[in-house]
Amino acid sequence: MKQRLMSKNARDTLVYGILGIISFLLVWQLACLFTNFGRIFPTPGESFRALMLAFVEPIGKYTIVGHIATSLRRVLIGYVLSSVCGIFLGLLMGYSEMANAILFPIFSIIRPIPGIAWIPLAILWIGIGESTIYFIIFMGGFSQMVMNTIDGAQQVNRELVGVAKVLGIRRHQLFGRILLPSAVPYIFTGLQTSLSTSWMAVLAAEMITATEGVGWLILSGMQTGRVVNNVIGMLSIGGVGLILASLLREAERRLCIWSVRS
Amino acid sequence: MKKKTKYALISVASLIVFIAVWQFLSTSGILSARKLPPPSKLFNTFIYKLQNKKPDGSMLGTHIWISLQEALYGFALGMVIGVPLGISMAWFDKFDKFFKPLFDIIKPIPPVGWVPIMITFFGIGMMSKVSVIFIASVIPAIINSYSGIKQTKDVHLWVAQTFGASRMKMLFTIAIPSAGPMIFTGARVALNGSWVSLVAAELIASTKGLGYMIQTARLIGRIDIVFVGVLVIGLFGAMLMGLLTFIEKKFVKGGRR
Amino acid sequence: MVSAELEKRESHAISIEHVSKSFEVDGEKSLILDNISIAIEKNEFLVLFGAGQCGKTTLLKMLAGLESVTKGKIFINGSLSHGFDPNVGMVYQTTALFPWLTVMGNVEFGPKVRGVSKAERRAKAQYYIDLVGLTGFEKHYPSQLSGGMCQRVGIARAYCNDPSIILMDEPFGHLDAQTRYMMEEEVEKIWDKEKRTIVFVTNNIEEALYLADRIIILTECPATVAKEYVIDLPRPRSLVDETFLRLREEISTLVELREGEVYEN
Repeated sequence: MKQRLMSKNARDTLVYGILGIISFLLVWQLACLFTNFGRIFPTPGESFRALMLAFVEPIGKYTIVGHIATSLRRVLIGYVLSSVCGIFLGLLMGYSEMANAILFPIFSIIRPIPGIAWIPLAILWIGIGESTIYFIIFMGGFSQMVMNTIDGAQQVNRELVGVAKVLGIRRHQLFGRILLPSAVPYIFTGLQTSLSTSWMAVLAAEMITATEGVGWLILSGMQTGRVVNNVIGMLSIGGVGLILASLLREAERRLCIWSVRS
Repeated sequence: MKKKTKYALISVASLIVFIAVWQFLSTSGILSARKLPPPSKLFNTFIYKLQNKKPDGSMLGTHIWISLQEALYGFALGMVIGVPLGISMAWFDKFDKFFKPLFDIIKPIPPVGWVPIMITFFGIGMMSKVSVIFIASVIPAIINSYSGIKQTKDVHLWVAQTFGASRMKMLFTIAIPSAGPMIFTGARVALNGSWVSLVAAELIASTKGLGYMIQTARLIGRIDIVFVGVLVIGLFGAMLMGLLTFIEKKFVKGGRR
Repeated sequence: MVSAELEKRESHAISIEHVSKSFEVDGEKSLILDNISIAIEKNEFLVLFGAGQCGKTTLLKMLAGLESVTKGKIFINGSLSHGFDPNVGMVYQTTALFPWLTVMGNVEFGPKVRGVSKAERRAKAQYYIDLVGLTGFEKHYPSQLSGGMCQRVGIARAYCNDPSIILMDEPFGHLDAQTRYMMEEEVEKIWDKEKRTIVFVTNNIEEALYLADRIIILTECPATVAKEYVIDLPRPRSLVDETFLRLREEISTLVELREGEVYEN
């Protein structure tokens, strides 16, 4: 019996997947050729060529690599800041009932406000510049991080605290040895969600106030009529977003092997 | 005094102190009233905006109504298309394999990234925003319905099979009902995403709506209107989510978590 | 207090004197334990037996320091219990292992938080891991282990902390029959090798008769001491020995009768 290189399931996934992508590209190409769509929208071929070109020829200030790097830099700074502050505040509010009682009302007012909504305020306060963008990204991820951390802090299994006490743990050891480790999976969930909201925030901020970066790139496509800029911008966003999310998932897998979460 | 009431009182006190301190700092000039208008002014502006079309062309009520419409249309459309799509992808294997790569490419693109393209196609009117919100809503709808169906307990399916149920019957009598809670989770994520994307879309290009209101106010330096707008955005966002939670509690049995 | 009684109390590992416990739920007080007095000898294997769901676990928790005493006093090794005592260890009903620590991490937890040096506690933990038959699994996480293995880690962890008294709260309740028999034998062997005072809670009559030096039968809520049986059979015990079966019959009937009485009221 001839040995199969791939299981039937794997083969199906490949075949149907490729079929799906090809049909999509076909519809796209046909729509460009035969309808009004093509007057504004570039064909798949044009898009691909433009993408390749963008690696060497700058659009605006940078090549596409430069734009991606700029956006990434902004996201990273804002994200790290909002995660650190978010975790700190979340732990504070999660473990101290007093701190929670005091801070909760103010936080509840800020929480439902989307990070993006802070843009006009930020511009009036700080002006147009890098700091504003960092601020927006910070606000984009902050409240989510706090909520998830509070969740983690409060979900701590009371029983496990009792077990540790029976084994002789002293009060000052409780936090580092029991409370914090059991909150980690929840903190990671928060990190994942706030990464995607931070990414969204940087795009919107760049569309409104920047002169470089992937968000600007997409907007420029709309403003200059070069829709192909839109397409390559979106593709790069999608690609980078995907990579960031996978990196984070991998990090979680390694640090939380012990967790039974799906 | 019971612990719960004690902390509740502290919270109320904290809020009052916060507003009082804010009022004091702004009116006394310690913090520039141009950068931080006092709560009293915000309240007045709020009342003013409820009745006046200046300076952005519509009353506050109109802005709110437009924003709500756009958000809810986009949300509903996204759910109506996303939930069946997600269910079909989870139940019919070939369908799943066909669409998955496309979906995986589209998924990581934040909805706000679609704004410029939609504006190119549809102009600045409602349609462009509804289409962006649609995307923001359809993606979580698909993901969560998909998960919900995939998590159908094998045991339940086996029981149905021994009763001779066909695959379609099992889909409707077992898989979909048991996916209820996850579909509702999808609705929650979709609604939140809808509201957030709405604000982003309106900030970028619009002629009416809360996002437009605060963007215009920013351009003419009326920070008080911006503040009011931001707070109203937060308020309505919270109310929408609260409404959804209320509906869920009433209609979804064997509910969440 | 008369010195003879004082002397007696000191000779006991645990002295439970006229202890009652009530909980307040939504303003209503419910009495869980009613005037319980039990004296437990050093290195005795005592089994608390009863069909009901209430009382036994609470009593154990009070001994461990996890619950307070409403009325009465508890003496551990002669002195009044103030809560957590390093001399009292516990094995729990559901897996209470720390999921983020490995088997080794869990077992050495007690000594670690008490400041024992790494070399010393590692060696000790390894000894107990070997004793419970989990050699080779030191680097595994609880999520990677079966229920029976988890309980064994729990036992090793309790022992490793060097308590003179170990409480076990229906530790094998969630295991399948096969594993349960195996674990009962294990516990017996370990107790034989490392003698401690053990207070063991179960509602399985075979388990009780297999392991106990003495069985104390508790009634349902509010729990009181109904009867006491001293089990004098040689170890390890046979489940089909005549005396064993007779006792089994007797105690089962007694418990059924007790339940009947409660229902009649």
